[in-house]
Amino acid sequence: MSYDTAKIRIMEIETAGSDSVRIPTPREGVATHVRRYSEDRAVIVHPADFARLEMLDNLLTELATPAPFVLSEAAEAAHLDSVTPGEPVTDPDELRRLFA
Amino acid sequence: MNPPLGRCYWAVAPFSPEPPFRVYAEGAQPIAVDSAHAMQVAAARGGSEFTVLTPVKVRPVLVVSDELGPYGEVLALRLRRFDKLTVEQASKVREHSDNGLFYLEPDSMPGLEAENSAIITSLLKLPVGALDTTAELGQVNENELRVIHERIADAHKLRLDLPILERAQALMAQIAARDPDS
Repeated sequence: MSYDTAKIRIMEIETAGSDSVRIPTPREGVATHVRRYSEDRAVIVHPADFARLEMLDNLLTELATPAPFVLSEAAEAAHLDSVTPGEPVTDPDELRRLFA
Repeated sequence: MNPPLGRCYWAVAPFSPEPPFRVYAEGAQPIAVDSAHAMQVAAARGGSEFTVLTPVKVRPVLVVSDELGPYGEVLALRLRRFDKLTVEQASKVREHSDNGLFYLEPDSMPGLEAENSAIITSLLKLPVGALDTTAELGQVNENELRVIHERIADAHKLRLDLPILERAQALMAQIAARDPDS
């Protein structure tokens, strides 16, 4: 099973030219909600704040993605040996001696 | 860290039952059952609990969890002695360059006869009664245990994204509550 990191990522990013929209000047530390008919249409944030959000987004994605785990030959052999039974003691005399 | 967490002990460690399952029959030879399906058929006929003869090995293990609530059970890793590794493999494990084998510092493990490592993928769930807690063989420290947990999560591809996100959200809520203007 693999992680679907796209589902963890919060935002996809698109770019629009500054001449195609009219926006208020963004201020650092302030998010401006653009509303129409009492609904949020957009939120304007300062590029520095956006960079921070993007960094957090990347950080969460990174945290949620497991590191690749490759077993070495030594670890594989150790695992196999550890889960493979050997020859159990079943001789009654030997068992009596061991548990006397 | 309270015992048994982070400690090595001798333990009665079972191997997992595998086909052919040797089903114990009182006063008779065990019955060999060749598949899990045949066991399920028997269960469908009315009996779902059997005694399967399963080998155990008395071996040192490293306990990597606290006791699970009232059940008295812990998770533990089997160990790999260094005399079963080549010189190159041993050196890689000592340098912590082998994710699958966690090096146990000999100074912290005075009760182990040889240099050892914990096998990250060889995880057992054991009742505390299966551990010989009369003698600790050694102990890893908090940081070592964190690395072991991280490697176990990586090896088993455990999904930790939600707990991480929830923890982050809880921390953010705590910070916001402390400083409402932030």
